Amino acid sequence: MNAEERRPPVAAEALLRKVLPDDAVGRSVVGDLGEEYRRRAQLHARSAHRWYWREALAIAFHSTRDRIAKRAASTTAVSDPVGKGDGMLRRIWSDLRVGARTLWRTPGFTLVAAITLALGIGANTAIFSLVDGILLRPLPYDEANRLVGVWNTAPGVDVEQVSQSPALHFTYEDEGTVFEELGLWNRGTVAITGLDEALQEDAIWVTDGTFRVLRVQPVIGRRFSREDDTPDTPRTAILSYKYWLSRFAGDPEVLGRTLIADGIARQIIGIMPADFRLLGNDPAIYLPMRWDRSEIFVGQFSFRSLGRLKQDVTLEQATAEMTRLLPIAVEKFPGGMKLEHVEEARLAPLLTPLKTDVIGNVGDVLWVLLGTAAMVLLIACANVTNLSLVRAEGRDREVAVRTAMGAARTRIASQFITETAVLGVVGCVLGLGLAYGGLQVLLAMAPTNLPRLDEISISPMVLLFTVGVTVLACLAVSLLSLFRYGQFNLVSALKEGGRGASGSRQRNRARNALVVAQVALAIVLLIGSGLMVRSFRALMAVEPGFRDPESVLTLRVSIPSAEVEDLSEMAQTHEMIARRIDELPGVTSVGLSTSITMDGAAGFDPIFVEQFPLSEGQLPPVRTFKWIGEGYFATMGNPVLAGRPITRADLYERARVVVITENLALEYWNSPAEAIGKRIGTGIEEGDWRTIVGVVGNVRDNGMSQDAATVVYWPMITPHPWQELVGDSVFASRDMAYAIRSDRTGTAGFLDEIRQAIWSVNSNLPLANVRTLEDILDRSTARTSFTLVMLGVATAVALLLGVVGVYGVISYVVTQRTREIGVRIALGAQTGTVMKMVLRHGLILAGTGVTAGLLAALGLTRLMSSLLYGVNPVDAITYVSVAAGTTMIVLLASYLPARKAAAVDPLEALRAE
Amino acid sequence: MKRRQGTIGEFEQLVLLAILRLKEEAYGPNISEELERKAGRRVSRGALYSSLDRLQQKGLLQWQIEATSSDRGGHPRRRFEVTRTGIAALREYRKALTRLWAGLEEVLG
Repeated sequence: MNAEERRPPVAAEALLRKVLPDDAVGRSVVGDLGEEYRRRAQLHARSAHRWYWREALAIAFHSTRDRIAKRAASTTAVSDPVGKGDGMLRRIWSDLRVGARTLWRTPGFTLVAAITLALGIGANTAIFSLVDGILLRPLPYDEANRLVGVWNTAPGVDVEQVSQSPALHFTYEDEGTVFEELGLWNRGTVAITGLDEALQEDAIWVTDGTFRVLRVQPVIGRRFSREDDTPDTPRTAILSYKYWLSRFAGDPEVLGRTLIADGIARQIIGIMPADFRLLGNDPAIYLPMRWDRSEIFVGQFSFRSLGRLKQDVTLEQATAEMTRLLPIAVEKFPGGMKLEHVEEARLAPLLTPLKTDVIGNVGDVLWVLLGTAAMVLLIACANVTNLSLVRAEGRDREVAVRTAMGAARTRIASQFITETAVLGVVGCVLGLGLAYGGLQVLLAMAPTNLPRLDEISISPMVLLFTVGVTVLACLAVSLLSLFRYGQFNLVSALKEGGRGASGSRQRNRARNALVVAQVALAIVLLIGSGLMVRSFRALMAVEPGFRDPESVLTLRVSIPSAEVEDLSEMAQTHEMIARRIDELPGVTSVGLSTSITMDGAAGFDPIFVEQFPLSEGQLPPVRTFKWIGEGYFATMGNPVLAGRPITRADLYERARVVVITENLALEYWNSPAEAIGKRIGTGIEEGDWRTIVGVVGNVRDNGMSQDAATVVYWPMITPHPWQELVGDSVFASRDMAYAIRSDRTGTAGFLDEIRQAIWSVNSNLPLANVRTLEDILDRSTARTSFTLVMLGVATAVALLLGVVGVYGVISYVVTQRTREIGVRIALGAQTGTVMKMVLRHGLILAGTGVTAGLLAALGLTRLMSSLLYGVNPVDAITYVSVAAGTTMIVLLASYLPARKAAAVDPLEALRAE
Repeated sequence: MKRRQGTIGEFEQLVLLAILRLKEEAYGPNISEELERKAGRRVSRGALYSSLDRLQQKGLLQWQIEATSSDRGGHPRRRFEVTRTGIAALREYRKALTRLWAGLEEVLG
């Protein structure tokens, strides 16, 4: 290696920079050391390395010492001219030293107590940093409290919350007075061509107001203007920072260059900041929506919308004004819903704080987890208190002697508090370490759809919380010690001496109460975990509408009109690709659909049923729509219950047929078979009838924990149901999902072969969203399994601490009563009787704790009912098994001390006195 | 225990002497090398820089920051100089020593 290239050890150099002042002097020292290092490294690299470390540590030591000395000199000189506070400070210092020394002398106690506290504090810190990062911190936008999500509600047709219609959006933007700015946006993908490889990238379409609402400026270039967002103007695009770095290597010259997205050239006008997310989304590219206002009507409720309220405008005021504007929208943008439809649906605007839109329902999970962590801390505190009570007992003599020698009671009390504080500091530092490590694990295993993950850190707020929690824990622990020494009886303590008489009933009562509390808390956590296990099992038992998801690979291919203009030809291209993939070795079957189960890509439209005409003014129900090719049901593993699936012939003949799910069939008819041959339709009005040729099993399209969706499957190319509205005679989706069933899924090279198969048909087609059906399924159960694991870990810790607590107390009592037990045995008590006596003590503790825990659980588990699936919060099986299990464990923990008691040798016991 | 202002310890004295000997070349690495070579003792860089700072606070030495070329990774360099007070302190120390040495040649050789 060349001498010039030798670098001193990075960590040691970082340490130097940290301890030295960041000025010319500090840097000159770093330079000196580096220079010497290089000289030494030429002779012997390894010893130079060691040398550098040694000297860096020496410098760190000296400079820290000098700095502390300097600060001490200046503070004593200024703040304490008369030396009055000196006594107080010196006393605290001496307390600290004595405290540390006492703890050092009993390493066993110190270690156990510090680790116990650290577990409690660490768990709270880790969970709180999630709560802080996700729930508490304001969104990373300017004046985020004025941002709202704009939705609609339509209780008349049982719709709680539905997205925005462009017609309503533009009405509010033009006529409204309550918003500073409004934005409309939606997500999708675009094919980027013209760069080295064709790729399908995530994109977000926005109106020009969207970035103004969030008050965000591109780092270079400009935002979309009103002109960019108008049809018939030059096309523009803004890149995300990530995409700019990865595809253009951060080249600032990229502004003004042309990008081909979906076959259309667009000029790049800006780059968004690195940390900018549009409500958690970080697409590759932003495109203007460019609405043509003549084509808008009150409908198309499928766009997200956000707004910034003007200063001092409340949600209620804004909603009231927007409600008044609804009829104007119907008038302004005709062709969609009419006024009577709006009234019948009771359509109304719905504003939500934007934060709710971002974080969704994850708050439930986090608060439950924080509550769990708090319980673990309580248990930890109870344990530490118990330990220090036991230890304090041994020190009664010491305290008595000190009191007799004239030590003030407050002085003794402050000594105990200081000791606990030292313990607390150790626990706090260890806990922070645990939290930091735990957080890394947590973030790695947290569900990917947990929002704002990149904003989570151990922030000053979290540190403050940790310190607060530590102080509380210390207070709780020292309160009992204080209480004890406040009413300390000098004479009796001296008299009792070392004799472990069983007289200190009061103390035993305190200890028993603590153990009961521990058992009760552990019961609550166990029941919480038990309910989650039952929910998870119930979820797993749900029939999702597919089989063996691990062997189904899914991906999306989109054919832009620039590649294949004609729709029939385009659909044939999809089919051809599917056939090529089907020919690959190991592939069982391939199915095409606009949406795979649970991928969230399905469409929604109204249906009419010929046999059941709607009455005057009645709105048709809205159902899930998917457009599929041949072999889709077979690939997914969804059985055909009656009739037949969609065939290739249906596609070629543009047959007017559909397949529906079982639950939709049963909504209108008595059995799946009865639905065959009946006709349904969609569109603005009834009349375009399609025959039901098959009924398939139910699918959980909205997630495993949701009711099965009612789905209508259409042939992927079919006579257009909205022909008069759109003008095209056939309908076919350019963007199709491929489901590929093969035992080679997940093996090396398989994806490459699929890619080659696609490109053998058309080499300009990018593929996107490659994942297995299992990935999609996991995503749907992620929240439940995440909660389950977190609760499980917390419960394991709680149970462990609880068992240790019970064991500790019982065995302590046994030791204390050794003499009494010895006398009993000497007087003829059987070993069985002695064991029974000790076990009875354990049983009483267990019984009381279990009862209290069950009662608490009855109240507390209700709070987590939104996380449960298919199980009642008051689930008898869980309650009974947890109660029985815990009683068994507590008895087991008492069994060991009981055996010890039975083995007491009366002679030994009496002689020991 | 506090030292009287202006008096110097043994190590500090050695450092000042090394700086005087090095003249225009009194940079950190050279000082430690000079001490190790001439005084025959290993010098911890921590103790050295701490002493240099202390001597500067006492007014016994001063330094100049010099920019360097890229061979030190752009880190500046400190060149040290003994001040007039520093020289006076050394003289004072030597005088005291000489007085104490006087008449002890027989014992110490």
